[in-house]
Amino acid sequence: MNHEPLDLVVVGAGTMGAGIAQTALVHGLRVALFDAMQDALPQARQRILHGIRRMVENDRLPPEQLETLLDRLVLAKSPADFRQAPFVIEAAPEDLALKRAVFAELDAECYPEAILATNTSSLSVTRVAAATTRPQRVAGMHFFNPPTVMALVEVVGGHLTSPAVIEAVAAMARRLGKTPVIAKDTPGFIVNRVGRHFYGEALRIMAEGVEPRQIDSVLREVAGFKMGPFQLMDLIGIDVNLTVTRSIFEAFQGDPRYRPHPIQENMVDADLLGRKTGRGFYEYDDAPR
Amino acid sequence: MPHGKVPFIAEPGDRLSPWLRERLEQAGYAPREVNLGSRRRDVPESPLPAAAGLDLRRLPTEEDGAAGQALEGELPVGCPLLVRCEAAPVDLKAARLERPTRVIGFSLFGALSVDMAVELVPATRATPEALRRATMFFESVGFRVEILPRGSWPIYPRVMAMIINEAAVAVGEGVAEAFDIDEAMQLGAGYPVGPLALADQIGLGEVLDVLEALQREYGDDRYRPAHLLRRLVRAGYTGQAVGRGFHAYEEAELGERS
Repeated sequence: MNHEPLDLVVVGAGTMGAGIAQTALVHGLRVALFDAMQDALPQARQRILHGIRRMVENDRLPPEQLETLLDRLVLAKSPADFRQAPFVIEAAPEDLALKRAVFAELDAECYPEAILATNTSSLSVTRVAAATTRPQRVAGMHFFNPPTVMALVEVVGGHLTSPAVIEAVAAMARRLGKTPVIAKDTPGFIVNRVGRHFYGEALRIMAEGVEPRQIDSVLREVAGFKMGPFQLMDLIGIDVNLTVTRSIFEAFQGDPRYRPHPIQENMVDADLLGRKTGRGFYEYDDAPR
Repeated sequence: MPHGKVPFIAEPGDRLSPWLRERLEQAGYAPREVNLGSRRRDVPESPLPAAAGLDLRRLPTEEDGAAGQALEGELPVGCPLLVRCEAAPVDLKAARLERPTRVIGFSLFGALSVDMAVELVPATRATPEALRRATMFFESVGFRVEILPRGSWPIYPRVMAMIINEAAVAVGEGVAEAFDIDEAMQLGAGYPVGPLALADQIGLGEVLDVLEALQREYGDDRYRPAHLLRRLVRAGYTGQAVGRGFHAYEEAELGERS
């Protein structure tokens, strides 16, 4: 490992982690990628290499940069390899206990002034931060999938996060070429909360006897959305959509605005999950059954 | 003006939406406004208007209903009566009129953002002929027509009012700034326009009307309007038209600074 200082550490080498690391490399940062499952790292490096090659092929990067960028990627064997880094983004799976364990470890290993950010779409940043001795330096950083393409990052301050840290996290998002928006630590933050009704209300209209095809058509043609809610649910996965809806409904103590619809439950029970099972609100001939 | 194609638009209270007037005129119609409130009957010159419309968001009052019936009496046989139905169920309006069989609901909500399609909701008792004529009328004005099941609620106002309401609750509770919410929905969820900017275009009063009507109709607490929405409407900050809604527009900003 060479000795130039790191700009950023990404913990978690899954799709999101690799995508965030790739984005950071492309924007000139020196990045360490770490995963407790060390086997995941070479695979993530391959994915990043593939992503950067594609950018070169599409003339979005000069070819001579490929090697330089990859040289700035460090595959960390243990937290000892990034102890001095100023900024860590955790992108582990969406499991509170797991994320808290990761944060407790990062808190013990990382330089005390380091900012620790969690990439989460649905967990409480405050609860993740409480696993550390530095909750004022912990914030949420919600990237959208795929992080190499989507321009938005929701920057989420936990209950104890200092305003200066929120500003520093927003600045990091900008360094990554993203547009940050600042949100309080509330269920679903902005996009998943406000966007819930696109699905929830559409399901209620369907329950009253309007065909999903027509609801999608109206929301595309009249409202100008690229995809209708049923097309989107099929794409995301009806099970995934239901899980998010349920978690927000529960987090808001059962407020009827977020109430899941029995249609979703039935479809999940019937294993009609959308594109991935070949059938959801629509049927897909090309998908495996 | 093509002979036999004169619609007249009756509206107590507010004026005919300027964009609809423009659209009608472009299509060769000569829209008329009939003031129901004063019971002045403005009979069309042409023997067969293409359609008559009630451009009234809310449920007509008893007086409006009586005047509407009087107006209806002047309509030639077969002329459909178009009523707005985003903030009052089409059947409730039809019930106040003499011939519910000719009543077809339509929604103007959101027409400002993407205006090439219109949702039609036939009253439960509407005849196929009334629906056919209403469809022909809107198509002749350049709309793509979506025909919804009888007596249903138009889709776009219902879904968008809920999204706008949620965004308003979030602003009201300090979750994020209005600007950030709009930006997040556009960049993170691909919305063609931010929900709060859209509300400012449509008019906050119209959004509030839809939510209140949904709450009355379904008795479900999920439709309760955001307190911030009510507050802004009461304060007269009803959107772009007055220079201030969820966002401040140029004139309002100048006013504040001076």
